[in-house]
Amino acid sequence: MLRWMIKSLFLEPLTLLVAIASAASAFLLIIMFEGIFAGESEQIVAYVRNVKADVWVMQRGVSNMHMATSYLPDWKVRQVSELPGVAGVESILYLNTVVEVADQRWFSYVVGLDVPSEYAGPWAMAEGRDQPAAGEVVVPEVFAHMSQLGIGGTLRVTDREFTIVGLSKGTFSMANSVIFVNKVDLEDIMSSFDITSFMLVKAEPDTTPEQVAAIIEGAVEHVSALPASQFLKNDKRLAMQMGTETIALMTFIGGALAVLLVAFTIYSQVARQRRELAVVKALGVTNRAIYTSVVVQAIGITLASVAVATMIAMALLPALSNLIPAVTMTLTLVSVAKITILGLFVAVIAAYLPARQVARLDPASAFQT
Amino acid sequence: MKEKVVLCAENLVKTFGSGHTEVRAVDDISLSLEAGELVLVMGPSGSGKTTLLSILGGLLRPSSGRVLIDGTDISAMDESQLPMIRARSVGFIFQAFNLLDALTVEENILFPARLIRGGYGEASKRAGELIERLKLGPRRNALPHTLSGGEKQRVAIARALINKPPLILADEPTGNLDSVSGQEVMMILHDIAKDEGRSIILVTHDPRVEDVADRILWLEDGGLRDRKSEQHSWVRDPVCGMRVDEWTAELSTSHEGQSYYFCAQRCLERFKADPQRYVKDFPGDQGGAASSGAISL
Repeated sequence: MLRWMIKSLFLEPLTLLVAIASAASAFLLIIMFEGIFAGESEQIVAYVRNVKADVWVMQRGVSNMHMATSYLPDWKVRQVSELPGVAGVESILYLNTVVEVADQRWFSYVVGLDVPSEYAGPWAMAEGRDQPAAGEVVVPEVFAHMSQLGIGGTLRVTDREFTIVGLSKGTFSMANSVIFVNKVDLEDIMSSFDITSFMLVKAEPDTTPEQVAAIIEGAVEHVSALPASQFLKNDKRLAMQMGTETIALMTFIGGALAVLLVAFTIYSQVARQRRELAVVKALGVTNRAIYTSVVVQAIGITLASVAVATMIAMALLPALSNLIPAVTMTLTLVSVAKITILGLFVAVIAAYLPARQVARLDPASAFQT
Repeated sequence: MKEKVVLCAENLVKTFGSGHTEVRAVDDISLSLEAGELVLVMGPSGSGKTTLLSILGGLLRPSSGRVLIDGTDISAMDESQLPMIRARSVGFIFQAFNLLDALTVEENILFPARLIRGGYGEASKRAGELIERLKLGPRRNALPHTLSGGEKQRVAIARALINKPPLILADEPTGNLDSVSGQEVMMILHDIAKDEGRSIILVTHDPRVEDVADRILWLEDGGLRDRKSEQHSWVRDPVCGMRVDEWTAELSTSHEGQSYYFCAQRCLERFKADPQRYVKDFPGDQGGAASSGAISL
């Protein structure tokens, strides 16, 4: 029975191809949404992930960087640096704000570096210097290209103008890019002096980040200290939460579209096979066997569509990243697994209507000529 | 020695609709069939032949009455049990062949065998024998759309036989075939009944088939009556005057309480356009079939 149903599918390869292509386009849409979401979520936490800190120290109660505010007095930096297990400390001042470049406005993380900075600044440079002096700024390469700026160009952060001295790599995101200024300038912008937002701590080689975090929290009052892995996890969770509803809606729309397309294909297939289905019922095939075959057909079409969509996405994503550098897209195994599971749901839902149609089919209609 | 009864239908009634729109498609039909018997069911279009065949094959439930195949009452079975009866006990042959387009000749023949657990190995061997016997060897791997009408019907016959059912139900098996292929199919069915002891009910309009039948049943208005193959009831077409067999004529109409039979659609249409013109040439007292309005010759 199953063999017959599958061979029937291949009897009209063009129809099958169109069906798979249609459903694949819906799945591709979902993969793209997922890819953009996953890519942007990764990019939002790019700074936390890439700087070489073992432990993050911040104002007590703060547990992440994205959209957070943290103030610590500068003297606590010295206090932390003298603790056992601490190999080094760098401090940054941090502000979430809109950066104006020509007519464009970019929401950005502005990181005020205590220059010279060994590891709190840009982790990869495309061009120029990575240590901004007063009045200078290091901006993402993508950001500069999109704003048609280069080294020597200027931009505004709040009410102050800065000169671009460096173009960094991997620091751009549609949601928030990372730009680096001198800490003195950011203190001035924020009218807050002798303060720090975060301390980026390096642990001694024989000490774990957890041990160092515990030592810091035990020795310094009113601070939270978290191992970098935990801090990154917190930041990522928050970033994901902020986009979850949007991506869920997009996934629902794409999924519904896929259901419609697969259902229509299976429905058409069943409609075309009405006579043959009546015949096989007359020959002794049970309704259950027919249902199973209809579901398997739907699953086959859906999984083929998911596979095609995944392959297209894998081929397209690198090209799209080059074509649209503003958008960061990532295709992960988790995304593919999620979409495959979604595809199986799609198949079962899509098979429901055709299966009902088959159940009502009168085997005696096999006698109709 | 009395042959085993394969099929026994008792007081079958099938009605469609209700109230004023109720139609009695099968009206109190009883029938039994012995092993090796080939029975023809003839009758005008819409007389209930296909409905009867569907009930006998377990495709349609009778409104009342019962059907026993090999002593098993299939009318009392629920929907989940009937598919196995269809697969094991009944072989269907259709006018339109109804082969599965995606499957080869051999796969079509073996299709019902796959529905029965454990019987596939033997069936595969039997399929080979049937393919040789029905002269389908060179077409074993062909798809249905490449076959001639006669070949398709031979495949359908092989498919009906693959599970060795005691009962074969054939609906107009020669209806879509030329005379040579039709004759060939009829002889195959005859041999199946006589050589293998299968019981065959064959619905047909084709009077050429009468020669191979053991019995001919006439179905009209849902009721069944026996008719010997050599008997005919000749009447004259009131339009062209041609001789027509009332038993097998497909075209008929009633006018003022009398039935008239026609050789062709054209004659029927001309009659309907101006019945009085033709009726006046057929006085009611002419011939012995005055009660039916027909003219016996």
